[in-house]
Amino acid sequence: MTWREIKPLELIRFDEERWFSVDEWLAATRELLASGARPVALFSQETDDCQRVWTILTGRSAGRLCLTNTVFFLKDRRAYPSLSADFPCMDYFECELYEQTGIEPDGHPWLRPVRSLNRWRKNGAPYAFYSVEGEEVHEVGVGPVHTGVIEPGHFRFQCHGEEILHLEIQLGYQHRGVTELLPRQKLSQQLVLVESIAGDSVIANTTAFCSGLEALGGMSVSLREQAIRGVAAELERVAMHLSTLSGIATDIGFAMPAAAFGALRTGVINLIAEICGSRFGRGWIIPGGVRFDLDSALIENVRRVLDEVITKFSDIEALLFNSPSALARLEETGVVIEEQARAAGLVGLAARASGIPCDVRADFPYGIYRYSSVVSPTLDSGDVYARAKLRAVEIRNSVQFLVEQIENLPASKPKNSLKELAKNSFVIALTEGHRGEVAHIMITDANSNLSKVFIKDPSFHNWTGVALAVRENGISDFPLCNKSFDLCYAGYDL
Amino acid sequence: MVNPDPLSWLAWALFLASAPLLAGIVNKLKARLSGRFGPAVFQPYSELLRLARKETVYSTSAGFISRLAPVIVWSTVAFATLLLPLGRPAAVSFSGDIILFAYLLALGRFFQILAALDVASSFEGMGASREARFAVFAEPIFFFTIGSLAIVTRQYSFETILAGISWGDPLFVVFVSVGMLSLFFLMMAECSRMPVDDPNTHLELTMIHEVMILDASGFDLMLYQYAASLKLLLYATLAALLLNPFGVLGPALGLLVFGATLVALAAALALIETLMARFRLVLVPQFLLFATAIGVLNILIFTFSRQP
Repeated sequence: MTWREIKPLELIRFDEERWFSVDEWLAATRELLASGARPVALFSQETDDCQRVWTILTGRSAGRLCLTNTVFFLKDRRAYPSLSADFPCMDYFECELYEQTGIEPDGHPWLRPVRSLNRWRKNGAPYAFYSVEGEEVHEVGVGPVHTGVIEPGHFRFQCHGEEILHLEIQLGYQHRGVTELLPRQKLSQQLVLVESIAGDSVIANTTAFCSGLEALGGMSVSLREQAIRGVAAELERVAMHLSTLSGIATDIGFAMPAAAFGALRTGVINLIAEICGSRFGRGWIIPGGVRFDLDSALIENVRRVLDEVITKFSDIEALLFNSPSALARLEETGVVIEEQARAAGLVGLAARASGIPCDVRADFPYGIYRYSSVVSPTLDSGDVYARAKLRAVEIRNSVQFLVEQIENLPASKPKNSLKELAKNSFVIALTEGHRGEVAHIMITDANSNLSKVFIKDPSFHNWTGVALAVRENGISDFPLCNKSFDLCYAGYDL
Repeated sequence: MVNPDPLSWLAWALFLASAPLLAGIVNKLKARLSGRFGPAVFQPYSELLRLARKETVYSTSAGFISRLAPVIVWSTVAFATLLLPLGRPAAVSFSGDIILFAYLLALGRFFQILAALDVASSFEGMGASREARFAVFAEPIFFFTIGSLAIVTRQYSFETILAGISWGDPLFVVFVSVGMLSLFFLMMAECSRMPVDDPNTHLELTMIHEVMILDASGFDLMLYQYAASLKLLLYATLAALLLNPFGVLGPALGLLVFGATLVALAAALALIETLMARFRLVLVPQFLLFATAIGVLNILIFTFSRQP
């Protein structure tokens, strides 16, 4: 066997690891991908004379991941035959590995910048976008500065009249070097950095980071604090799904639900602020548990806000999803069929809307989700309607989960402190953000310091989904398709 | 031809001055309907003032068309308004002025499209292409609606056509209600309102009218915005004048009914914009053809009602 099965948060001592040759690593990765596995992470660590590369894919048995590795020696030409031609889901991972380490995927169909555009400029020549030629083909470039207050990203469309033939998405405008900064900071600063990876996925990122630290430092979290982390995660999900639904309504010019969903979201994020002082949950999650407990008055408030949200939500949901004019815009727009979604390796909500069950809370239960399972439904039409409707369904499910949790919070226990981190080890921590799978991989050195952190935002997988969804759609439907995925630029750019 | 009556010209000046108010009323009603407070009804005046004070910046690829077009767009709409009898006989009127009206607005549109192409941006080119395409479908609406009234009344100027409308004739009741409906549709299309275009969107890829003026700034942008609000009032007024309030009810009561009709039209527009999603762009021509069909219906009513 050239791979082994691991669990998320399992401590992996890489000084005891068996290293495989490049060919063995490739064969193992190919075999797993061919059997339907989806990549979770491809990351590397540089040592004095070599570059260690690990691949983590979804496993064959429930709750397990597959790990395989190899070593590229710095003195050799570092290249391997590319996997992307046969497995498009590896595309961005291989580009990222090349950009970070220079290990070249030979025969990669479309090697292009992931974050560092300038690194690719040769002799000052600008990067050449993929282009389509033809008499009536025209090119439209949108961004990175947009007319609305949104994140920067450049979209290059190849169009035939109003129809989109191809979309190339170029990101990296918000690259802040989070993963490079993290190992150099103190714990208190690390938490602030992790909170700012993606402003709307604070809980998902901090929970992943803290649970990784806890696994490395042998620290346990009391059941009550795990439950509160679950409450935080679901509140974030409800708020952000409401926000996306409001955005979808805005993009189809449907003023009533746009305003009403927005108002509901404000109620939820204000509730988060009441608990932890930040509307986006900053400072709530810390290693060992949570910084802010829920007392009976707060629990009462949570229940009241949730009641209000679910009552009003039903009416507005009916208005949006029963309106013929809205359905005419949402249905059969931006379709990603299941086959495409699998090939592109989509995760989270986008995958579930195309009929692929993919939810970390169900597949790799962590924290409170090990005790209280969540329902993670799928829809199979893969269009904007499915992605919008699924959000509505998930809001209901999350509210139900929240009500159950706040009514049965376990008793509190004193926290134990963070011990020294395990030496020469790494762990992979997975959480389900509102977009999908967030992965944090944390590597320690021989002095038990954090030496490298690898972060994967679900958007890293799902931008390909946006590019697929808009094909053969009108260019005027692009904003709607894009909003239905509601991906994160900052989380991708890191 | 040109009416020497100063009151007609005063009515025209009042019309120009009150145009931004109607847009303000629509915005306010829309905000209230979706549960927001919304900006004050006089907000559009502040916006125009703000733009007028700003410096006008031209793109390096812009030629003289970009400088000329805002003035032409504004003045064609303002001139077209002269042809309407606003409580008083129209300031300018002659037989066949309905044709001049239609093509004055078309001239304004032509220059708007040229100006959009002039800055050589892919966005504005797309907007220009959409505007030109939808104009093809919008033009027949006007001619079938006003044209059918012209055939019925055997008059060919706005003043005489509208004066010929009486509330007593049941035929006119049908005519007027059907005509108002198709003019209302025309208003939605021509003034880039929902469900044809979304005046509030920030998404340049979905815009029609707004994307064409992306490169305009300062005084030029003020003229474009002012012309857009004039156009909205223009079509609403035309629809309200179909009731012939001044001719039937006299000046005082007529003005009241006229104003109430405008507010009712604004409310209908706000209601549609709140309770409806915008059309997919490819479906807009179908919507416009529907409005044209209403105009054709008007002619059919006329043809068959006059049969023995």
